[in-house]
Parts: sequence; structure tokens; C-alpha cells
Amino acid sequence: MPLDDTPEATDPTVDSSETFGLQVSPAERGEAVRRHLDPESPPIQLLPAGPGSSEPEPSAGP
Amino acid sequence: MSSGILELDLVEAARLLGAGEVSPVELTEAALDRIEEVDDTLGAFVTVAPERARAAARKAQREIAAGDRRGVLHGIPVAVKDLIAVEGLPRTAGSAAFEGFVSESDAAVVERLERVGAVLVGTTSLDELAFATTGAGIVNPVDPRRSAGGSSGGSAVAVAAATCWGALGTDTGGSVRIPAACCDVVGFKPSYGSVDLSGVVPLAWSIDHIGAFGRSVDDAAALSEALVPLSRRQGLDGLDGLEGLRIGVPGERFLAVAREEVRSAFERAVGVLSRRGAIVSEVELHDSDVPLNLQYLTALAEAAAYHLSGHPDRVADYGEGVRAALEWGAEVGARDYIDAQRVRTSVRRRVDDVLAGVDCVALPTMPVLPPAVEQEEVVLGTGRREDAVSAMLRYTCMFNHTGHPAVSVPVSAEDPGVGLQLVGEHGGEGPLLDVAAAYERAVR
Repeated sequence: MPLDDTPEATDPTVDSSETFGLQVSPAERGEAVRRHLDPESPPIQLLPAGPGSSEPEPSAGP
Repeated sequence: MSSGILELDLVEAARLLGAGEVSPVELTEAALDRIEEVDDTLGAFVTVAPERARAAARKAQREIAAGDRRGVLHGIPVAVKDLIAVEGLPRTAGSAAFEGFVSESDAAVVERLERVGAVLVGTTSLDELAFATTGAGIVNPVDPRRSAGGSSGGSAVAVAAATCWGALGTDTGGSVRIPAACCDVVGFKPSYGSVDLSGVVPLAWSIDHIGAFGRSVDDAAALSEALVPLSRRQGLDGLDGLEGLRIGVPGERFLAVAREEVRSAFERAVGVLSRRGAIVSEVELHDSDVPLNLQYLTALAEAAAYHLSGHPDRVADYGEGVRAALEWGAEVGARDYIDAQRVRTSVRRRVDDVLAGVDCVALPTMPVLPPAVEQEEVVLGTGRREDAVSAMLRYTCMFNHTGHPAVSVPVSAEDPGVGLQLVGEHGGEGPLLDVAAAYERAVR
């Protein structure tokens, strides 16, 4: 499998103005998410917690 | 004999075991030999537990000889991610901050595996505390130049390198399906809430899942069956064909971020489904930017709550990347988190609506090929440059937020590193795996 998808191996028209990952602030990501809210958006509704909910343990470990 | 044993898939090994042609002790010794042979290079395991495994194998052998065989996993060597507690074994969660911690009891999933007689050979490597997707420090046996994927990279590599017949991982944004795609194995995440996660270190409570790796769909199903009822239509043999199945495929707008080599492989996969009689139609999902933003806001806010409140004295010892992510998560405002959950509900409803009209949705597991080792940035199909972790998460994390079951199957031997992701309705694990198995048979 050729390593042909590294940035260097692709065309030079890459938009280098993009920022990545943690460089996009929580507030910016919040604003981006809010653009998908509308008056019909449902209220907060978490998936039901079942036996699959992980719980922190009372031990010293992770 | 042992190298021949290692070439068997789980289902075949179990068949031979049931016929008395191979024993749990032989399987376990073959697995331990293989680990010793390859793992210094691959780094798939954090802890290998040979004495524990040998004792479990001898016990399984006695039970089977006495006519008490407890199913397909009885006597089969498996591994679990080092985020999952195994009584008496270290659990580092991939972090130097927890070196030396030994679990005092088994996680619920380990109890279930032991109940059906599986033989645990060890715990597998991961990205620190499951925060990343690149499998740092783990070597991809398919192509060592490429990322093994993460965060359950050790489990994927352990299965791909035939050091065991199945392995468990965790999946909070794609951490089972992504390394499965990178290592050309099958990775399956059942519905949210269907598997008991007690004894598993959380990353983000509301999107954490357990998943299973196998060399085939049936192998991953066999391991999953110990954790969640699957109700497959034709048992482990799956469907005979794909005739008449309705499969939804996202349109151009969704697929635009996928690189050309991924898109062409995916188109070939859809062609296989279509030629086998599946009815393929276009469906509309939210653009992958939406779940990616949900992923950052939800996963890192919840992770910050867990780690900063639960282990404040350890956080200083976490790696730089994890600390930066926790600091980011601690900055997520309540309004942003709540609005994210509202949008998340809309995304879930959209997927439910789509699945009301089709039997499953098919899409690539990742929009990019596995990045090169230590490659930090990739270029999406749109030409946009993005960090590798975000790019790898784009097509998987949506189904952590919606909770739907999802499986990644290698597209074909000619397309290494590309997974076909199939997504089914809540609780529809069995029919979903039947479709995946039928696809797998069509391309093998």
C-alpha cells in the first residue's frame, strides 16, 4: 500500500488556514453545533442509562 | 501443529475443539508461543498472563472432557484491552500514571467471558486512557508503516497477528472500528447500553461502548455473544445472500471528505452488495462535521469531569496530549454541552428515521487510509487539512452519539486499511452481523 495520502503527497491547493483538533476552541465548536439547533430541536434527552453505564470505581486505580 | 492451529479462525478452532481434535491447552500454548514470537516487535500486549492462561486452559480441558462444554468460547484464548479490569492483573489504562495498579476484581465483561470458559491470555495496549485513535507505539502487522489505529489498537493487532482468537476493546468515538479497519480485521460495537461496562475505565459515560474484534464477522459475533444476545437469523453461519436487503448509502455531500482511494474502495463494496441483490438507495445523514463537534464537546467535557474530579492527584502524571485534552474539556461551557446533547438527539432521530426505511446503512469506516506512523495531519477528500485523530473519527463517532450498533468489515484483500462500516437499528445486532457476514463471504 503506497503511502500516498500524506499532506506532502497531495496537491498544493490544500487550505492551510484550517485549524485542527484542540486548536478549535470549545466555544467555537459550541457555536458550530448551535447552527444545527432550531425552534423544533428536541429538549436535552440523554440515552437511557442501563447496565452499560460505566461508573468510576472507588479504588485508587484508573 | 501450533502454526497450523494459529491459522484457524475462532469458529473453526471451536469446531475442532468440540470434535476433540484440538485441546484448550494446545490452543493456549500456541497463542502464548505466538505472543512470545511476535509481541516484542508489535507491542500489542501490556500484560501477558501465561500462568493464569494455562490454569484456565487446563480447567477448560477438564470441563470439556467431562461433557460440560459451555459453548463456542470454552477453551478459546482471548485478550482484553488494558482499560478493562482483570482480577490480579495490572490495569494501567495505557498511562504511566497508573503503573503498578492491580485490579481487585473482574470487570463484568471479563466475568462473562470466564463464565463461558474463555481463556484470557493478557491485556492489550491502547492510546493513553483511550484518548486518541492512532495506536501510538503499536505496530500494524498489515503494514508497519501505517498506524494500527486506536484507541484499542493492541486488541486489533493481537487478533490480526493471530496471537489470540478474539479480543475486546472499548469504543467511544470509533476506537474498535477504526483499528479494525487499519488492521484488516472485524470490529463490532453493539448498541449503547447493551453491555455492562462496570469495571471499565470510563472515557465519556454517555458514549462509551464495549466492542469485539475477530478475524471474521462470525468470530467477532462469537465473542460478542458472550456479552449481549445477538439473535442472528441463521446462527453463526449468517445469511446465504444479500438478496432484497435494503441498504442506505450516504450521498455526495457526506462522502466529499473521503479521499479518492477510500471512495473508490467503498464504491466497489457497494457494487458487491448491489450485485448480490441488495437494493441500494441514497440516504441523508448529518455532515460529519456535526458528530465531530459533538464528539469533542461531549467526550472531552465528560472525560474532564471524570479525571479532574476523580483522579486530581494523578492528572499531573498524564501525558501532555491527554492533559491538553482535559484542559480543553474543562473549558466546555454548560450551554455548549447542553446544546450539543440537543443536537445529538436530532442526529439520533435522523439515523432512526433513515433506518426505518432501510435494513442498514453502509459507509466507509474512515474517510482516509490509516495515516503513516506519527503522521499528525492528513488531507481530506475536499483538500482540507485536518489532524489525523479528527479525520479518523469522522465516520464512526456519529454512532457513538446515536448508540446504534455498527461493525467494520475489511472491504477486500485488494483494499488494505479500508473498512466497510455497516450500521443497524438499536437492538438489531444479529441482523446487522448477518449482513456483514454475507458481505464478507462475497469478497473472500
